[in-house]
Amino acid sequence: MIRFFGGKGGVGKTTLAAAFAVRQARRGVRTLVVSTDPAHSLGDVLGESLSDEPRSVGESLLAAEISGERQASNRVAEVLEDARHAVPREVLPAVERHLRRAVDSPGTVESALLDRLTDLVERTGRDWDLLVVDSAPTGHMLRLLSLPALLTPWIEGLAHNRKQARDVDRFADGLLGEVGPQNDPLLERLQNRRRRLEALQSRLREDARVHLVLVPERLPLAETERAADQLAEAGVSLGAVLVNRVASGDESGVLARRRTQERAVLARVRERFGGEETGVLTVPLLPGELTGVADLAEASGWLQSLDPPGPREA
Amino acid sequence: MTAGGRWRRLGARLLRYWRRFERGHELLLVSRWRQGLRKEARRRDDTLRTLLLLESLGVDNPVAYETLDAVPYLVADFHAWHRRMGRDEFGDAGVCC
Repeated sequence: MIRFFGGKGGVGKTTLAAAFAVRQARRGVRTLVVSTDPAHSLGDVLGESLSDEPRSVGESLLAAEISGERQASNRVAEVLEDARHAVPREVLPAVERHLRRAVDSPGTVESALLDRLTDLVERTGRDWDLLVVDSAPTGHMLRLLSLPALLTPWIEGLAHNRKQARDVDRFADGLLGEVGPQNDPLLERLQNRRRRLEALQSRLREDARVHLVLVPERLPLAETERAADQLAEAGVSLGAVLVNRVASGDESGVLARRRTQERAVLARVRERFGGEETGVLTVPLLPGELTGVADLAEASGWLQSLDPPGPREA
Repeated sequence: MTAGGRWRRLGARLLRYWRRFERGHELLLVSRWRQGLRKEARRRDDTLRTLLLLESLGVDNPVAYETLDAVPYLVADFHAWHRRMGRDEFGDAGVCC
């Protein structure tokens, strides 16, 4: 089970993702909450210092903050280590230079982040049962979720090209009678990458829900509607839409005036998302900020309707 | 000479002719065809190399990260090529050695 929390910057996705994760962990669901935002704040919300590797922050609750840069440099080190055994020693410096250049390519950080997330998705159902992703602002999350669909055909094309070259070569060899079984490590690696991306893509389609988070204002609403369209295109299912910081209605002055605007936005949200199975959930404006697991657990009652079937009910 | 021996000799002669024909055919036609095939394979490999090392040419490569582990093999391929061409060192450390 994978749940993404996404939305415009500053709407409170990190707090809601953390509260949801804390709630599920208290229900006995082994949960990992992970932040993919380059400007991490999950650690601040939980009141814990987090790193790339999931660590326990409570009963049944793990948390981590992952980074594309770090994953990319780990991967370069890994590839270099493999290369030491596979290619002539004198080309290693050139290999390293090519790798560094590739890592500086635009898009690499996102691909690397997706790669790290793939590791965590693969461990979901084994090391933990629920993966809660506090993602970066909308555009970033959409790109992350549509990357597999973008990259797969490209790699497919490269693998196809390589395979044909090898087939033609082997056919030419066959005419001389020098056929032998040949493993092409390059082709193997391309196909491994493709398989990994495809597995991620199908897992995201079957097992993931995205909760779009917004505050009852016009700009976040517009962005939420666009995001919903693009997610549908990417084949990722929507979960309930969360409207955060809804005022209670008994305010006066500035807040009372804002209340009218809020009502219009809420009506539109209900019109667009309320009818479907996804639903809309409103979370009230709380008097103070939530910090730490205990605070979050207290407030997480608001998220009850998001509960997946827990281990006790299942 | 027995009839069986004659047949055997004839058989051996035919086989020799066949081998000679095969060699000629190989020299005249197959080798050219094979050369064409090899050239096609090289062309495809060149395309692949270009696509995988796009950033060396200053072009953005959208899958640079996904193909990182192919890079050592490409450089090794390239290394083998310039050595086949008779250059022990390629002369541009940025590309090979």
